[in-house]
Amino acid sequence: MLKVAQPSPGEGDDRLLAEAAAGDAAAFGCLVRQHEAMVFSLARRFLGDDSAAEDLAQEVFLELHQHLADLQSAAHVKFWLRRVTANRCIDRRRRRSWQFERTVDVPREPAIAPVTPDFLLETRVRGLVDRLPARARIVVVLRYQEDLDPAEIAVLLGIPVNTVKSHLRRSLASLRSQLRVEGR
Amino acid sequence: MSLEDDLRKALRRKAPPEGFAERVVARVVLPPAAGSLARRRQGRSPLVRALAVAAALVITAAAASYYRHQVVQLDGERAARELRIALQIASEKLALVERRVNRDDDTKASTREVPR
Amino acid sequence: MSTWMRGLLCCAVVLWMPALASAQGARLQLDKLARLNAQASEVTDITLDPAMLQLAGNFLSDPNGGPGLKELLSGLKGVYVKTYKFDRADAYTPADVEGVRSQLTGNWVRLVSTQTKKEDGREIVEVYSWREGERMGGLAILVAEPRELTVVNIVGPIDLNRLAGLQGQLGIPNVPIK
Repeated sequence: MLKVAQPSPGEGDDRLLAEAAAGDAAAFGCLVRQHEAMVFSLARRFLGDDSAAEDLAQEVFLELHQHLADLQSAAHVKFWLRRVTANRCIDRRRRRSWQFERTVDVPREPAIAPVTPDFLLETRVRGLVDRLPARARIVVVLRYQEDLDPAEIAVLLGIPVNTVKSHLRRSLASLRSQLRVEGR
Repeated sequence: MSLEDDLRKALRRKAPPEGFAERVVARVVLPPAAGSLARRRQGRSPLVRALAVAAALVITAAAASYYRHQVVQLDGERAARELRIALQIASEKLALVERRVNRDDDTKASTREVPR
Repeated sequence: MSTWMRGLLCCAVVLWMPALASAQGARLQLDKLARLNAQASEVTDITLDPAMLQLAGNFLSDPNGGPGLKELLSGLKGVYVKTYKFDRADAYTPADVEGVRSQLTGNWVRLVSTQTKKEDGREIVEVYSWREGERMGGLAILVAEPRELTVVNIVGPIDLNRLAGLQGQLGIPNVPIK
């Protein structure tokens, strides 16, 4: 069980945690609502579809429910959820890696117009992030989805901060070069 | 816009399907064992019982009101349902587009605007 | 009718035509697909004109509790969806697809086009945007799978990102796409 001291945020959130830990299902429901988008989005980024992401997110929250008494503050809950979700995603991805669908032939069409609508650019960026190695990907997702700085990511994943920076540097260089090749 | 901004936009959070929190809470609290449910009922105070009755009355009244609302405005509900289905189909097909666009490099299709 | 009245009428028609073309241009004529009704095992046919959209808007709640869905739909002039599912692979013809495609010219700009070989045929996925200058005034999605044909036509400005983000958010079970 994680025992990482975190700064205490608003008193209301801490009270919610205390009530949930005391067995108040409604308070636990509020906790779930507070963090569902974060947990679901992390899982979605790794597993690729809503259904698998919801399964994993539900498992994470059920595990949270079992460990509520061990968590000391609302910030600690957030930290715990991010850490457990990240680890579960990496584990699940390793188990599933052999299942990933291979591709079929599609004729490449020439790129003519330079304008790429946001939807397509974002789709491409997400697709390239999805192809990063698992550890690099979780670092990138925590950095740009969760807006954590490298030091926070290092603590979360239990790896040296220089390793985080190295993952970020290499991933950005890789993404940049691939987008450039594709005529971004 | 920089790559970092693009990443922030592309990786912004997405809300889970509707009712997610309710499903999680349901898995936490259900199914209660029959025995423990009975014990819990016996142990409830009069205040809790009164609140439960009041809540039941409120729910019943709300359900009746909702039923009347449904009967009177059936057309609107149907239109909204059809719109939801239409948007769901549209978003599913866009998800299919995303999957097709994001296949491995050697097999992907055009992702640029192509004047017709 | 006097000459000057005929002239006035002509001027009015000339001035009115571009607006009419813009409003109707993004709307596809999908009536010819009706012949597939008899062959399909499952048909979804949704036609929501401006009046129905306004009515539907009064009964919609945003899945995330905010004004997002209504905001997404504001300004739309029509939503038309046709989905045909078949028991066999050759139930519709290339001409059925071409009948839709042939309308996607002029202000329609193709955003995405993919073709994929599948076990029992080919899958074609195409997305088009109706452009009015710098504005997006409509959307068309054409998905032709061996056993399913889908055409989505949205008339009016629509945010693609937000539309894509609605998947699984509307209280309708999310269908995984193979």
